[in-house]
Amino acid sequence: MPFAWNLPYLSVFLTMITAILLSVIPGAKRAYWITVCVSAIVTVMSLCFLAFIVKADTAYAFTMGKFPAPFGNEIRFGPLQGLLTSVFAAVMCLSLLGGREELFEDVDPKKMGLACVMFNMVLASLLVLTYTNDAFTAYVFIEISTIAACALVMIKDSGPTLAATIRYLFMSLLGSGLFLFSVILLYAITGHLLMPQLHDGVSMLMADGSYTKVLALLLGMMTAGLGVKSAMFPFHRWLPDAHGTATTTSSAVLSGLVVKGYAVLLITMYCRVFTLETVRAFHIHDAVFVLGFCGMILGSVMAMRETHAKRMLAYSSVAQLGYVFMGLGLGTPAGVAAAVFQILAHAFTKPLLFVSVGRLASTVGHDKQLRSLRGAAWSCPLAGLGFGVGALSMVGIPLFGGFAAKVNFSTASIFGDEKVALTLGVLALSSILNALYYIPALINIWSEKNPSVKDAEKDYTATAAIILLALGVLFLGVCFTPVMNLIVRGLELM
Amino acid sequence: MSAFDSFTKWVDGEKPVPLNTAFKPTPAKKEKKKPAAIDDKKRLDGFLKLYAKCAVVISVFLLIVLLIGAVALPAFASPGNPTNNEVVHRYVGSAEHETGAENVIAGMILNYRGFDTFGESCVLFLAVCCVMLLLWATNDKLRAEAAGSGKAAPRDAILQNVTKLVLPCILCFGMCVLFNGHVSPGGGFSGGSILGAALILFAVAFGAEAVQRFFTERVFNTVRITGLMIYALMFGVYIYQGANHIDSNLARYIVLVIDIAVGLVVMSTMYGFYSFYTKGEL
Amino acid sequence: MLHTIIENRFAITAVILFVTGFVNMMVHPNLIKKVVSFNIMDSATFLMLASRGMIAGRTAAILTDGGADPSLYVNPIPAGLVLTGIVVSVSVSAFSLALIQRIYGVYGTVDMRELLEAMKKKGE
Repeated sequence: MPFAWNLPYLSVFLTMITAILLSVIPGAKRAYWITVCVSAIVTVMSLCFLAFIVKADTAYAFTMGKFPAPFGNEIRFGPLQGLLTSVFAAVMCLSLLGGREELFEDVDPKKMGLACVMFNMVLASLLVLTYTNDAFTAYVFIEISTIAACALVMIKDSGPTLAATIRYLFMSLLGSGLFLFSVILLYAITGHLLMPQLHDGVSMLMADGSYTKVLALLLGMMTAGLGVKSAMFPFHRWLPDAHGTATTTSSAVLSGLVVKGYAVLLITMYCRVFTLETVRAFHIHDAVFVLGFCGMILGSVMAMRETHAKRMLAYSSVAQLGYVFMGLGLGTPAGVAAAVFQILAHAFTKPLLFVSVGRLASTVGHDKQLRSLRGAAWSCPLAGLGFGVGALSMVGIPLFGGFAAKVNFSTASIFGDEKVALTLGVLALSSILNALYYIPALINIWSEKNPSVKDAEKDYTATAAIILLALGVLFLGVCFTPVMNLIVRGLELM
Repeated sequence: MSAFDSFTKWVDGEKPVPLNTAFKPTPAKKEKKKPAAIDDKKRLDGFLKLYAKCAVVISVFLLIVLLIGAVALPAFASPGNPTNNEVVHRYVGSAEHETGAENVIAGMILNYRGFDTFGESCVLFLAVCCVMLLLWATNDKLRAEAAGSGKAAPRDAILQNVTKLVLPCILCFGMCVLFNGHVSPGGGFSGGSILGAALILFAVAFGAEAVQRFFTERVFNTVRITGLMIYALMFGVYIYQGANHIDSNLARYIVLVIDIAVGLVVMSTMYGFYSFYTKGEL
Repeated sequence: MLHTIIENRFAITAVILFVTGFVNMMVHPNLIKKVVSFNIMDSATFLMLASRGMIAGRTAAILTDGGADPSLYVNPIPAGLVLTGIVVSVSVSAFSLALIQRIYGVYGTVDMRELLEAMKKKGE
């Protein structure tokens, strides 16, 4: 076995051990920079691993211990997992850099170490949720992700964030309760917890037609549980408060990454355990499609009504996650691939928008009402440009990541056999709706400068973060064909 | 000027684009505040009623669907269940010589599925970190707030004397459960919580200052971090050896050592919860 | 029908408890009671899981003089999973109670409704 295959598990243990040690390391600055370094190292490790696995063009099941499946824990990785974890770790690093000033202002210096524990744990849980080959490990790390993500909301210790955290926590607990119950039902009818054996068990049950009721029930529960946690449409109400009130870095990480971890897990369960045929047989994909459809429209409509910049971005996340579920709801491999691409594109775009808004707001005393941000771009042109790139990508202008995602969704729907008109129609409508609130916001921040506003202080880390995130968006928008090929190959090897 | 004329002028670019209508900085509406508040309250009422109705409908639906599912499940306690398969046979049959644990459950959670349990210990660690983030009184204002919320009960002679009598037994029992976790019922989680309960009892009877004499913040952190680090490093090495097919005897010792490490983590976590809840520091 | 119901009595009880916890968690305005409901929901899950591991006439999976004969012991896997689940639910309860304590300190209420109104009043 090549040494490179150890990199995923080493990156998981590196982040977790750092998290454990950070809780006692004194010094706010030290803790912050250690966290940044660790996420950068994990990015490099994941990229190396990605290079190796793409070259080997294979997927590998790595036993976590001496005993192979079905006896011991296992992780499994291929090109898709390598790509996703590289992007997750990179975006985590850049979000930390981008929100640095505000993070130090919002967090009690004595509690900075604990806040950094949470960032590391979120990264570790994202890595494991992507790599895992075991349904119960997935549950444990869902809970880690839940607790750490709620803590990220409340590290800015103010009344509204506490109230937002408790709502977020209770919704998340409903979601993980549903997920755990569905895993138990799955265990009860197949007798396994490892995904390859679950796959065999499910296909056997599908072939001889026994326990189909339970199978349909648990598939629905699992989808609903993970849907609650990744803000699928009717369960999205916790998201704007949680993402809108938190500090910039937390908002970027929560909106860009945490909700994606659950979506990736849902894709893994669909592709590796149940297969898309089973999902289609129970018409779960139709329900997912409808909910994604409603999320796309209503998320945008609610974003239009917002006057608070960060809450507007949070509602826009609901709409963007609607795209992911719509792609899953197509029920075809092309649709799933488009959903994965959307996950990547949104993972770059949304943190870019949050970091830019955080920078712009810092020039007007951290007031994030859209009307106070009027003309703020002139005092920090780079953040204004970053917001422009993000907004245009969200609207779907060519050369930006969001455009490529929309192209992928349309091709996936055209070459599928159903829902073509609906998908194309909702894509067009949602692009218009996105334009209706992103373009005015963009014009607003670039309109005439308010003379009383001072220029932004120099912040090199935020500058670097904005440039790199914008480059990521542009890269996905220009070179989307190789990325798509990689995703499609990764889904085949799942 | 007709609407059409103004439109053509706008198209020709002779009229400025009416951008400023979109986000005019409007002054805060002060005079309308009161009716708005009542309106808000009505809206909230309406929303909560609708929400309750929806929740009941969803739950009734969920109940019916789940009941159908529950009736269709494999029968309770029958040996022919799908869960009674080769995995169980392997665990029961080989746990003793593969992991050195007669308690198959301990062998399973600490060796076969040890990564899950590592995640689980991290959940405990995270919970105590979150409680610290929330309740740790880092300044005087917070300290005063915390002191107000958890007033110390007056010392009670009966409680103190009974504690003196019972505490050694609890400690012995806890140690026994902790160290024999691999051969009898018990293990790190149960032993650790018994020891944690003993510490809490001691703190209740003799005051937190008495505990502070030997269980300071430093000790608390050391115990917690050492326990988790032993687990992380030992299991990390074990995974490396297992996945790379390097022969070693580590698997046979791992259960006992990790069990004790987990016990330390659980004990300090339990006492940490109590301490942060009552006075906001250790 | 009755036979099936009796055969699956634990699963049915677990399901009823699960939905009880679920509905209370959604509609109950009191935050502390929401935490209690969450614990009911989790306990239901554990009941379900534990009942899956039972096999009639066998003992707990701690090897005794009988040796390692799989036909003597019940399924050890659910017991391990329940242990994990309990630890997670303890941690989450501790976290949410601490959060509620702080919310009470800031807004002086543990009622979701009053909390929302208090937030409106403060203009947040």
